[in-house]
This record gives sequence, structure tokens and C-alpha cells, in this order.
Amino acid sequence: MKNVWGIVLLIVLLTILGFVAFTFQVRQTESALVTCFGEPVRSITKPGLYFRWPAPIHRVHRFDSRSRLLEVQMQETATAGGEPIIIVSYLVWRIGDPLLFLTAVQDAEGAKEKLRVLLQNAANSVVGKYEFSSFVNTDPAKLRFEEIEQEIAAAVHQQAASSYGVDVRLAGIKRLMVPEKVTQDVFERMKADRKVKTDTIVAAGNAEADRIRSDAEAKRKELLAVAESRAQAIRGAGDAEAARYYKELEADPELAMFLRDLESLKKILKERTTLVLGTDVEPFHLLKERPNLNPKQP
Amino acid sequence: MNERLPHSDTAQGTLPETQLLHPGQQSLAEALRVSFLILKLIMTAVVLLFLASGFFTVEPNEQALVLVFGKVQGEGESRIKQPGYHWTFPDPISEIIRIPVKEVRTLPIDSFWFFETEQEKLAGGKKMAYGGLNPVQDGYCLTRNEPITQLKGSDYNIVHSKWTVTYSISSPVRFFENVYMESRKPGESFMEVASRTVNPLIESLTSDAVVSTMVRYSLDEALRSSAGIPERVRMVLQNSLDAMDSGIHIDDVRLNRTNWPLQVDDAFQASSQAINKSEQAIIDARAYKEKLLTDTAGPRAEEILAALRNESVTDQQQEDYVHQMGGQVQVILAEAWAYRTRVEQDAKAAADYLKSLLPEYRKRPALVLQRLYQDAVEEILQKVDETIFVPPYKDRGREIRVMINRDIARPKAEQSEKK
Repeated sequence: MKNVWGIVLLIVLLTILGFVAFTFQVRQTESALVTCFGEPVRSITKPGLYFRWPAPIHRVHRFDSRSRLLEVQMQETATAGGEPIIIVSYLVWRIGDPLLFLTAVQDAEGAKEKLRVLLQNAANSVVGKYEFSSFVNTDPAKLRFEEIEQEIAAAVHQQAASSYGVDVRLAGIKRLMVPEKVTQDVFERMKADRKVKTDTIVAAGNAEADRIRSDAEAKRKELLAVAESRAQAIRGAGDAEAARYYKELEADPELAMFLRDLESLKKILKERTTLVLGTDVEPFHLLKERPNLNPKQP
Repeated sequence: MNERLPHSDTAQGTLPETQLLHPGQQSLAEALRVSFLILKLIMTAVVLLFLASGFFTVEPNEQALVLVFGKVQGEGESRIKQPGYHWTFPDPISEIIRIPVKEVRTLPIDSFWFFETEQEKLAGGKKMAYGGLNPVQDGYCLTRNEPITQLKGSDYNIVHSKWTVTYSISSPVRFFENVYMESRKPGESFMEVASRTVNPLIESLTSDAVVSTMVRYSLDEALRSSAGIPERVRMVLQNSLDAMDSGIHIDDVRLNRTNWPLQVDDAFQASSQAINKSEQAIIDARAYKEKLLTDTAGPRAEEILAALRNESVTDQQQEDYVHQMGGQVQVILAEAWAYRTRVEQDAKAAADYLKSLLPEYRKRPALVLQRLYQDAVEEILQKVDETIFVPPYKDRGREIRVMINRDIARPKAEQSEKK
């Protein structure tokens, strides 16, 4: 009975020991390289449990295979037209080929140094192939910014993979600037541009305001003309109606004219009038002399 | 041993060994038996404890992955352990990776803003700036220029901007597999480490997206913070993150502030004032038009005018339209109607008067005329201010001079009051 337990214990201990000495795990986030007396024998990129001979026969080198960021110092370079331009580039990389990586750069720190130089050179040469107007342009169709980034990425990707076993997943430009002196010129130009633009907008605005005002006045005239023509029609109808009554005046036109004249006189000589009359006007002839009246015999 | 062997071969049969042992040996055997028992118990306990240590809880805000021998356990959806109780083989066989998927991180990006000291940031006001922008400390974007000027080389402008990016982990597996994170220091949370490692990555990718987006927009679009700008940045950024299988989702990209460079502040301020003034002139003109047309023909003036301009409009329709108008048009029409009524009534009155007068006139024309004439003279003379009589003279050439309108300003009623 005790022997059974002893054996179980022994097996457990041996299993654990064997486990530690003869296997190793590769994590999902890692890749590994197994060397036999310093000579690489296996490159592992899939996670899981693997067999090995204990050290010093086999050694396991582990690499974190996740993507990581690398930023490059600000660099001043020149475009194809010779304009100075300041860029900050970056790339995202991971270990692609553990064997090549180990032999070429040893570790992540080493890789960063190499990649930094690689990226700077690629950025320099690619930027130098394009005009400044490819980076920023009044005409969006002439922009080549994405192309430039892709070209840098492609150049770095190819070389990093073949020389360092590094897989460059992304590369790009995170800052795009011009030297301090140039910004001053840009400011002067921006001020001048703004002035021109403002003048254009203000002139257009004033023209629009004038247009609205004259449109309003024209419309007003048109409306009044319509109203006037309608008013004319109404008055005409009134005059026509009045003319019907004139027929009745034909019974004695002279009397009608006399009555009309009297009405006119009353209207004209209404107020604030100074009248100069001869005393021979009736009934003021009475002021001159008494009339000589004879009673009429019935 | 030699002494004991014969005992064991006795014909009395096999006896329990212990009974045959020496008391000292017997107690040793007993001790061994007990210690084996204890060992068994301990081993069982250890095994049980070992297995029990495989239980783990996933908190409500997280999801977890289980690595068995370094490999993510499960396939497809089952790789992600949802909140609740779970069991797996304990360390060193398995490893539990907890990822707080519900946690949203906010990352401000101020690298496109001009340099401000802490004091200036606190003061918040605008500072004066001269000279150029130092690329080491001042941040900015280049935007395209609008082709309004003929100035050479005027392809771009400079603009400052401030951004905020909000992100979360949408795919724990892809995030864990593909995004580098430093190992955790004691007491540090997952998100603290993630921020330290992931924020610079997001910052760089966002900056790239911002730079490549801003060159597509004009300065004025940038200053207006046109909605398309943050949306495009978000899209470009998400594409980059997807291209590296990051499992990170960009929830929001916000363009918080934009500003023209302080060096051109005066020119831009003056410009916006002038533009405001010009816009105000248009607003004023519209108000003038509105008032003028409403005064002329009421609130529907323009609409009615448009209808009147239609060539197919009939006279009747035109009349209806005119009647729908208000304002001055109605005054004109009212006057016309008043005229119409008046001339009709006057004519009718004159006709009636003549008709009533005619029989009497025919009988006694001289008397009727005389009466009419004198009535009129009376009426007139009551109303006139003053009347001057001039006696007739036979000889010609005499002249009289009368000063009239000596007090033109005052009407008669007023003058009489003064008297």
C-alpha cells in the first residue's frame, strides 16, 4: 500500500521535473527560437506546448510578436522642388521571422535602432521624390499624401523583412510642418489672402444687399402700377355711371351748366380768399344806387 | 532476521506481521502508517486545492481569455469568457487574461496646438505672438488654400487644432494577440498599462489621420470645424487600427477647437468683422425689402406679385389678387372707390336737382336764376376772408392797388378768435 503511494508520488515528481526540463510553452503573443548549442534548430510562431532537451543542449529564445509603435525624431528634409519640409514619421512593427531577427538585431532595442535609421532614410528618399504641392494643394485631386505614406511604408516593409526579420505593419507621417522662417512667410501670405478674400466677400455682400433693395423697389413700383391700373378701372366705372345721369341734364343744358358753375364757384371760393369785386356786380349794385322799382299791376 | 523467519513458516498459519514484530519496530511501523495517512491527506488536499485554484471570476465590465499551455483556449466565440464563474487548469498550465472591454478611454491630442505655458493655459486668454512657429514646441496642421488669389506658392495655410479620441477594446482576442503591452507592475491595472503602451500608438495613428485629413480641407472649413473632418479622421484611424488587427474600436473623434495662428490674429479678426458687417447689410436689406413690400401690398405681396406675373392670369383673377393685397394698394383702391361713389352721387344729385328745379324755372326763369345766383353769392361771401368793393369808373387807365394775403398763415377762424 505504501509502495503504491510512494510510486504515485515519484511519478508526480518525475512528471513535474520532466515537464520543467523537457517542455516549454509558447504564448499566444510570442514566437520562439530553439537553439542547440547556439545553433538555431527550430523557429516557432504558433502558440502551445513544445518539447526540448534541457539546457545547455537546447536554449529557447522568446520574442514578443505583438505589434508595437516606433516613433522617429523630427527630421528636416527637402521635397523634389527643394522646399524644406519637417516631418515626424512612425511605424508599427512586429517580429516576423524570429531566426533572422535574432541573428540580425538580437532584441527589440536593437531592432528599434535599425528601424529608426531605415524609416528616416526611407522618408528622406520618398519625400525627395515629390513636389511640395503633392503634400498639400489647392486642388485636392493633386494631393499625393496617402501615396507618399504608402511608398514610405512599402520601402521600409520590404527592407525590414529581408534584413531584420521585422514585419512592418503600418508606417506614416504624424506631423507635417515647415521651418520657422517659412511660417513667417506663410503668415504674411495668409494675411494678404485674407484681405483679398474679405474684400471679395464684402463686395459680394454689398452687391447682394443692393440687389435686394432695388428688387424691393422694383416690385413696389410694379405692385403700385397694378393697383393704379385697377384704381383707374374703378374710377372709369364711376365716370361711366355718372355719364348716365348727364343724359337727364339734356332737358335744359344751359341751366345745368349754370348750376354747375355755381357749384364750382362755391367750391373754389371756400376759405382764405380775398375777393375784389366791382360794385356793379349783383347784388352789390345796391351799394351804388337804389333801384327804381315800380309796382307791377296785377 | 534469521530468528524471525522460522516463525513465519510455522504451521500455526500466518499471523499479522505486527504481532510478530518487536514492540519498538511495531511503534515505528505505526508511526510510518500514520505519517503515510497524513501524507495521503495532505496530497489529496494539495491536489484538491490545486484544482480548486482553477476557479476564477470574470467581472461584469470585463471579458477573459484562458491560455492553456500558452494557447488561447476554445474556438470562435467560446474563446471569450463572459462575466461569471469559470474553471480552468491552474497555473502553470493555464493563464487567465482579463480585459476590461467596457472601459472607454479618452485621449486628448493637443500636439497640433501652439505652445502655451502652464500660466497661459490657466489664464485661457489669447496671447500675442510674433515671428514664426517653432516646429519643436508649436504644433499645427497644414490645410489647403482656396484658389482665390493669384499669389505664387499659395497652396497651403496653417491652422491649430485640439482633438479628443475615445476608444475601447472591441475584440479582446485580437487586442491581446496583436497589440504590444508592457508587463504589469505590481498594483497597476490592465488599463493603466494599456494606456501607457496603447495611448502613444493611438496618438500616432490619430495624428497621421489628422495630418492627412487636414490637407484635404480648406482653412475656412477647418475653422468652421466642418463635420466631415472628425468623421474622416475617425475613418482613417479605424482603418489603420483594423489594418494591424488591433481589436480597438474608435468610439468618437472630436475636434474640440480650431484656431488660426495668433500671428495673423489681427487680420483675421478684422476680416470676420468686415464679413459680419457685410452679412448684416444683407440682413438689413432683406428687412427693408420685407417692410417696403408689406407697406405697399401687405404680407403676401411677393407671392401675389409672382401670381400676377403669370401671363395666363385672367382679368377676374387679377382683380381677386389685387383685392388680396393690403397696405398702400388698398389705400389707392379705397380712394378709387370713394371717387367712383362720389362722381356717381354728384351726377345723380345734379340730375335730380335739375329735374326738381325745371318746372319752376320754366314758369319763372328770371326769378329762379336770380335766387340761385344770389344764394350762391351769399354763401361765398360768408366764407371769404375779406371782400373789397371797387366802384366802377368810366375813364380808363385808373388803377387800384389792393394788398391781399396780408396774413396768409392764419386761417380765418383763428383770426376771428384773436379779434
